[in-house]
Amino acid sequence: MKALLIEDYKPLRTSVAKAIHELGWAVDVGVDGEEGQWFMDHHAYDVIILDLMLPKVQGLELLRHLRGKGDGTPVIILTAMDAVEDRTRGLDLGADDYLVKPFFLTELMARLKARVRRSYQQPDPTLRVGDLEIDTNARQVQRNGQVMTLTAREYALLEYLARRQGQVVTRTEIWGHVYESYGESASNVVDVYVGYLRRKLHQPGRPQLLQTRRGHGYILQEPK
Amino acid sequence: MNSLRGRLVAGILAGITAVLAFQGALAFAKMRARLYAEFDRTLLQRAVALKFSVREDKGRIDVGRLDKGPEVLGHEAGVDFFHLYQQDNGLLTASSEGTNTVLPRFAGPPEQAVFRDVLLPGGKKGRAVGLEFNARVDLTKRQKAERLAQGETTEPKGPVFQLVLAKVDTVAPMLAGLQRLFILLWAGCSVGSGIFIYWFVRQRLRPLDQLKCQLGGLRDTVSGQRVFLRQAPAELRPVLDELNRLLERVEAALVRERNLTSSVAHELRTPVAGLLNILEVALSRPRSVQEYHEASKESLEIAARLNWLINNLLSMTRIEAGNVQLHRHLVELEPVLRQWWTPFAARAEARGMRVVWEIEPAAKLETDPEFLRVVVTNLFDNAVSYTPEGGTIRIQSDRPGNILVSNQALGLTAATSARVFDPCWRNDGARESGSHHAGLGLHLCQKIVALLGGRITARVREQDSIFEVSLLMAGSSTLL
Repeated sequence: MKALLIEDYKPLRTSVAKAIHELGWAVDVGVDGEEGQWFMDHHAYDVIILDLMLPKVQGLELLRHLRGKGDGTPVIILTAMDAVEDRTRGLDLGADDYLVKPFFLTELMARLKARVRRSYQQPDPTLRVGDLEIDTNARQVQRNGQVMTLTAREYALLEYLARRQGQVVTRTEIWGHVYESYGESASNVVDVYVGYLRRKLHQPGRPQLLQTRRGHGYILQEPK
Repeated sequence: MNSLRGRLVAGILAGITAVLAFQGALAFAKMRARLYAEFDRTLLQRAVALKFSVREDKGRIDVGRLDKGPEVLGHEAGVDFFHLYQQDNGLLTASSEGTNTVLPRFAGPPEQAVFRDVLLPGGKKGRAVGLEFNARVDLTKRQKAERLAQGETTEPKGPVFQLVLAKVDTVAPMLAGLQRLFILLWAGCSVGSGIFIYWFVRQRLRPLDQLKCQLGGLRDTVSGQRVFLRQAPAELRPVLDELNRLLERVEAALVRERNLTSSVAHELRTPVAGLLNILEVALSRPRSVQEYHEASKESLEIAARLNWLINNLLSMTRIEAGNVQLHRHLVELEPVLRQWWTPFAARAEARGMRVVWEIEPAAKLETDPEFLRVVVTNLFDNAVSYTPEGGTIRIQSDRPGNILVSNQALGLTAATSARVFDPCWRNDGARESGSHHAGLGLHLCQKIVALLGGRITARVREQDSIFEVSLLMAGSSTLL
């Protein structure tokens, strides 16, 4: 999963980014409205966390811009203003949720996860693909009752593929939803991690859940 | 009565009823006078007709029709009562009731009728005429000739009689009816007028009700609200104009207050959120000593910033509440400025800044040093926070009572320098400095300097943003 965080206050920005990162998600960080808009225009995100009082371009302007171009990415607003009209203005402009500062990161993280579950229409926090179970809260994976140890990157990759189970997912899509945008783009990195993941998911006598569709991408599903 | 409507209705109604009553009384008086005049004229005609029936013929008095009694007379001449006196002999003849009743005996000068109100038998009110006259004497031609021969007038001169003729007053009952009619008409007109006036005043004062409704409908959360009355009366237009001007001022004040509150809320809540989240992240899982150290350092910086911000806000609140007492005394400028700079020196040095001091060693200022310290440290803090690394900060006093703090903050222009003291304004550069300035410091500086009796200005010269504080110099009475 990948989030865009647009927040001008450095301490808040770094701590929220760190928390999202530790959730196993990729996170792009915009320090002002202009940078945030650039990220919005050039990348796809599972959720956007938007501060309202931003330098250069205000948060509500960014929201208007995003919805204006028909982008329905879920947006969670961070605001220091708790008046009803301040909160409802953002929701009226197309925001999906808001949090009033100061807030607890655990709450923000819970809301992020809820937003993603809703986006992928998977209300159950435990994802199931055949005999594979992914507990997205505990970030624990087990197959056939056997717990697996995955790195953060492998877990992120698996969660994204599980969210889109039954669909062919291209390398570009994986890159765009699992890796930070400012990282070095290399398609073989995806292949390498898919390879790692495939090996870890493999259990003798059990079907291979992660398959390659040559020339298209990868698909996570229970073989028919 | 406090109601304008009630006062207007009562006032107009009182005026109209008074006019109606006066007009009615006048009309009644005229009608009364005319009716009695007509009654008296008829009475006089009767008296004159009867007077001509009294004759004297060779010493014999003939009272003519007066002998026929009141019934006949009443029927024929419309007379109810009479008394006929011969001037020297008393009552000569009278109506039967008249003999038993005392009709006043009165008469005016000869041949001049006098009228009086009298009380008639049976207690009825009546009207009487008193007439003194000479009885008619019929002269033969020879008698006339003899008189002419004797040099006398040929006009007959009979004995003098006094006739009092009375008639029941038929005008009074008529007038009583008329009076009742008038009173009824007056009361009816008054009630009708009252209803009409109430309706009319209510209609005319409807704009006041509309205004009341509009004012009652104003909501303090909606901006751009004005009161408007279609076809507002001329008297209300200035009131509406004043109300709308007042609404504009209130709205502007509310917007300022809301912006300030939002700004303060943002500036307080954002660092608290930062502090909370840094600690939350640090404690969410076991971390390295280095990570704990960094989290503690960042938290300390934020706490210090919050402390600074809260002190500024408290100072501002005290000043705005007028709850401030100045303690002025003579301050040597250079030592105190250097002392106040001390907490910022390490940060400036860490960022590779050059600090240039240009202060006259003997410069003194009579001021409240505690408040001046808040101003100067805010300027120092801005300078250290916004000047790019390796930049220059100048702390100068180029003339008495004057302190200049220049920094090389980016983004301040001639146009924006006028707005830096606005509580809601922050330069974008201030957001990116990492120190997260509140944007309220310069507003506070402006308030304090005004309190100290000076002024603070901001200007841009080449790459320097210059903040100049001009205060009253010790011993001087004018702003230098």
